Amino acid sequence: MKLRRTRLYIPGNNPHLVENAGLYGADCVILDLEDSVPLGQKFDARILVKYSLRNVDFGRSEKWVRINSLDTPFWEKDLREVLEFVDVVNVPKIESAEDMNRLDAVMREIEKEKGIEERKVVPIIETLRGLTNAREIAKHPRVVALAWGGEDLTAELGIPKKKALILEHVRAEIVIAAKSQGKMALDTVYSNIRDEEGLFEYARRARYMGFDGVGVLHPNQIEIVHRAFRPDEDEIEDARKIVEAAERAMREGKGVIALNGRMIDKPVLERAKKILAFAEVE
Amino acid sequence: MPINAVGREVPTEINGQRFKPFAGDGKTPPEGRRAGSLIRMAPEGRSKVVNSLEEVIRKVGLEDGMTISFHHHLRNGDFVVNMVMETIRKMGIKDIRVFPTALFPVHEPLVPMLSDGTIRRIEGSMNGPLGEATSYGAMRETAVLRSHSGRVRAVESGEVHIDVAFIAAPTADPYGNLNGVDGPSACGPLAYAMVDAYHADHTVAITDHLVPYPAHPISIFQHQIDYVVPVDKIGDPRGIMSGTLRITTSPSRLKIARYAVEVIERVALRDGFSFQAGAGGISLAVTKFLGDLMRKKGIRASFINGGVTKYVVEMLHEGLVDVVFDGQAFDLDAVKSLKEDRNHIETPLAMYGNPYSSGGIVNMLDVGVLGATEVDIDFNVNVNTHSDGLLLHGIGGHQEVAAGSALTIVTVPLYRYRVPVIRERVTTVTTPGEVVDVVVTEHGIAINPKRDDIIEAMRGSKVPVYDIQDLQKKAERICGKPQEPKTTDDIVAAILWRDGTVIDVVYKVKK
Amino acid sequence: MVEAGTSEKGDMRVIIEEGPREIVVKSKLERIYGEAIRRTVEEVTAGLEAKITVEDLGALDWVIRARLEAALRKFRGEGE
Repeated sequence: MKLRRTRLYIPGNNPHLVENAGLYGADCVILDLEDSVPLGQKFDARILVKYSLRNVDFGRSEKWVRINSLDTPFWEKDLREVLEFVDVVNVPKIESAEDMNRLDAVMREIEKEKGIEERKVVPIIETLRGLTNAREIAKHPRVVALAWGGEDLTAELGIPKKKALILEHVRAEIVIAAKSQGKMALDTVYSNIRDEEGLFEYARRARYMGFDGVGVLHPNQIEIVHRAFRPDEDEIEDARKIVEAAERAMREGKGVIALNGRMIDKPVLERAKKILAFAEVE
Repeated sequence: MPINAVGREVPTEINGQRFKPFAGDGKTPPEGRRAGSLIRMAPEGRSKVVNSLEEVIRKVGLEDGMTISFHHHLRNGDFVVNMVMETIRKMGIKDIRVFPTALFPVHEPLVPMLSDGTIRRIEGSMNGPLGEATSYGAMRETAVLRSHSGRVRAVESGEVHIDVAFIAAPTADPYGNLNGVDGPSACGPLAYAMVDAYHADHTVAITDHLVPYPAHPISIFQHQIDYVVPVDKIGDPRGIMSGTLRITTSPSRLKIARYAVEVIERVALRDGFSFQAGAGGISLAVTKFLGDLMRKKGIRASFINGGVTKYVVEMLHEGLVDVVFDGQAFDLDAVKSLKEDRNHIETPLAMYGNPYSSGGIVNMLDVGVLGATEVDIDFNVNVNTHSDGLLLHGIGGHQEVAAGSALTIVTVPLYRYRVPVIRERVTTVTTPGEVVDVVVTEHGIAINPKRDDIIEAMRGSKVPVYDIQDLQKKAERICGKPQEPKTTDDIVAAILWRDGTVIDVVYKVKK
Repeated sequence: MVEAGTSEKGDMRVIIEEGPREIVVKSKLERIYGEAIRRTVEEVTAGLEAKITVEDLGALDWVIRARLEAALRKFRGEGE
C-alpha cells in the first residue's frame, strides 16, 4: 500500500535543499514552485526542479511538484517543464470539476506528446467554492488524494486563521469528500517546527480525524509524524486477528469471514489491512 | 625516501633531525630517558614581576635560533603570540623556531616574519593563514605538525627542547602561581601549558589579571615560573570563548549525529561507559542526543573527556556523568563549572594521550566521535589539508582519541559543497585507518571490516550500512571526479603520528 | 544582459551579456573542479556568441546545467 503520511515541502529554487530532499525518508517530497518561489525566480526554479528530478536520488520518496495555481500565467509552463519526471502534480486552489478538466486537458496533451503514462494529481482545496465542490473534484480519475489549506478560506470568511473554529469542520468535510470517492485525505502542515510534542498531538489528531498524512516543513518533523501515525499495539493485535481470519476463510474457500462468531465486513477488513501496513513500516 | 605503513613516501630527515617512518600504532617502542630543563633559582626578592616584554626577553637570554613556545587557550582571541613575536622582531632576534600548541587566523601577523628572518620555522598546528602561507612555500624550513599528545611526547623525549615558554595567564600572582578560570581573559584550564612550564629552560607568564599572592586556584605552580609580565590585555574574550555554542540546525548534519548515536547505543552504551566530547556542530548534537538517550534509559557515564561545553556541564550537574576531564573549555559555563565543581577536573595534557607514558585518559575511553576533512576507502583520515592541497588545520587530539577509544567514530558529510569527503585516497594522512572503526555520513555508515563485532551489532538497524567503497563511489557520482591537487616535489610540512614517526608530508602548492 | 541562479552556497549564478564569445569562470573550487565547470559551460553554451560569466559556489553539475539552461533560454527571449 502506498503511504503518504508525510510530504516534505522543499523550496524549488534552492539547490542545496533540493539535493538532500531524499535523505529523510518522507513518504513524498514536494518540490515547490508556488509559495516558496518568489516572482522573478519562477523561470529558474522550474528548470532547476526539472534537472533535480532527473539527477537527484529521492530514495523511497514519491516525487511531487507543486505547480502554480490555474489563475497564474505559470502553471502550464510548470507542467510542460516537469510533468515528464514527476509522480504526482500538486495543484493549489482547485475549485471545481471544470478546473480539474482544464488541468487534465493540458496534462493529457503533454503526456501524449512525451509518450508517458498518466500522472496523478493531488488538488489543494483552499476556497469555499472548492470546499463545496470537493466531492466532484475528488471524483476525477487522476486524483489520488485531497489536500487543503486554510489561508484563503478564512480570509473569505473574514476571520483570523489562528483563531478560526471552522477549520475543524473543514477538515471533516475534506476527509468525507475524499473518502467517499475512495481517495486519500491529507491534512495541512504544523508550522511550529520546534514544537515536537505539539506536532505529535497534531498528527495524532489528523489520524483519528481520518487523514492519511500531514504536510511537513522540516525534515525533523518526519519521524515524529510517522510515529504518530503508527497504530497502537491493541489496534495492531485486533487487525492481525481480522486479517488472519480473512486468510483462513480464503484458504477454506468460505465466502464469509468470521471472527469470534462475528461477521467481518469489507471496510473492517480494509481498515485492518491498512493498520497493519502502517504498523509494518518503521 | 621509504614508504611507511600507510603507503606514503616520507623523509627520514627533517630540518636536520632524524625521524622514523610510521610503522603502525604502537609499533615503534620508545627509547632513552625523559629530557630535563635547566636548573635555575628564583630571582631575589618576593616578586618576579618584570614590566616589559623586551626586558624579560633580555633577562631570559633569548638568542638567534632558539625555540620558544606558546599555548593556545586564548584561541582566536589571543594577543600574546603576536605581542611577543613583534617584540622579538623589533629586537632584531632572528631564526626563531616557534613551537606553539596551535596558531589561529588571529596570528596572521606572523606571516611576514616567515620571510623577514625572524622565524625559521613553526612546529605546531596552524589554523588558517599561516598554514596557507606555508603551503605556498613561505617558510624557510619544514613545518612539523604534531598532535596535542605528540607534542607532549616531543617535549618529554627531548625531540624538541624549549628555550623559553611564554605562557598566557588569565590570572597570575607576582610569584608565578597561575590559573585560567579568573580574570577578564578567563579561558578555563591551562592544561596545554603545563608541560612547557615543566620542561622549558625559562618560563615567562604574561597576564592581564595580576592578583595578590597567592593566586588560587592554582593550575601552574610558582616553582616553575621564572618571571611574570603584566600587560594591558592578553586577549579578546570574544575570540577566547566560543560564545553560546549552538547545535547544528542543518537537517543533514543532525541526521549524521542521530546515526552516530545509534551506533554508540548498539555498540558501547552501558552503565559506566565513557566518551570524548567536542565542540563542532555535529559533536555537540551527538553529546546532546546521547544525553537524551542516557536520561531515557537511565544510564550513567563514568567520565566525559572534553572539549567541555555547557552541554557536558549540564550532564555533570544532572548526574548523568560522574566526572568530567577538562583539557579545554569552550564556553563560560564550562569555565564556571571547572572553578566550582570538584568532579570537573583540569587534566594536564601529559595525561591525555601520550603513547610514551604510563597511560593516558584516551586509553580509558569507550567512545570517541571525531570529524575530518577527508576519509578514504582504507579509513585513513585527513584533518590537516583541504582537497586542493592547502594546509589549513592542526591535528588537535584526533590521533590519540582515535587510537585510544574502543569505538572510534568519524562523522562527516558525504560531500561538502561539491567536494567529496569520502575519497579513494586522502590528500594527507593524519590518522591511519587501523584506528578508525566507523565512518558516519548522512547517507549511511561504513564499518571497518576488521570490526566484526560492530558489523554484528549493527545488524537489524535502520541505519543503512555500506561498504566504504560504495560510499566513495556515491560521493563521486554526485560530485564528479575531483582534480588532483597541483603540487611540487618540495615538502613544506611533515605530519607526525603521536609516537613521533612520520605518517605523511605536505607538498608545496602551485599558485 | 540576463541572469540565472542565486549567490547561495551550493548554487551558481550565470550572467550572459551581448558581445563576442567569452567564458569567465569564478569559483572557490577552481583548483578542484575548475576544469569540470569549464567543460560543462563550454558544452552547454556551444556556439553561443556572447559573454558568459559563471560565479560558482560549489554547485553540483546538474545545478550548473540547470542554471545555464535558464540563462540561455532567457537570453533567447523566453519570459517567466
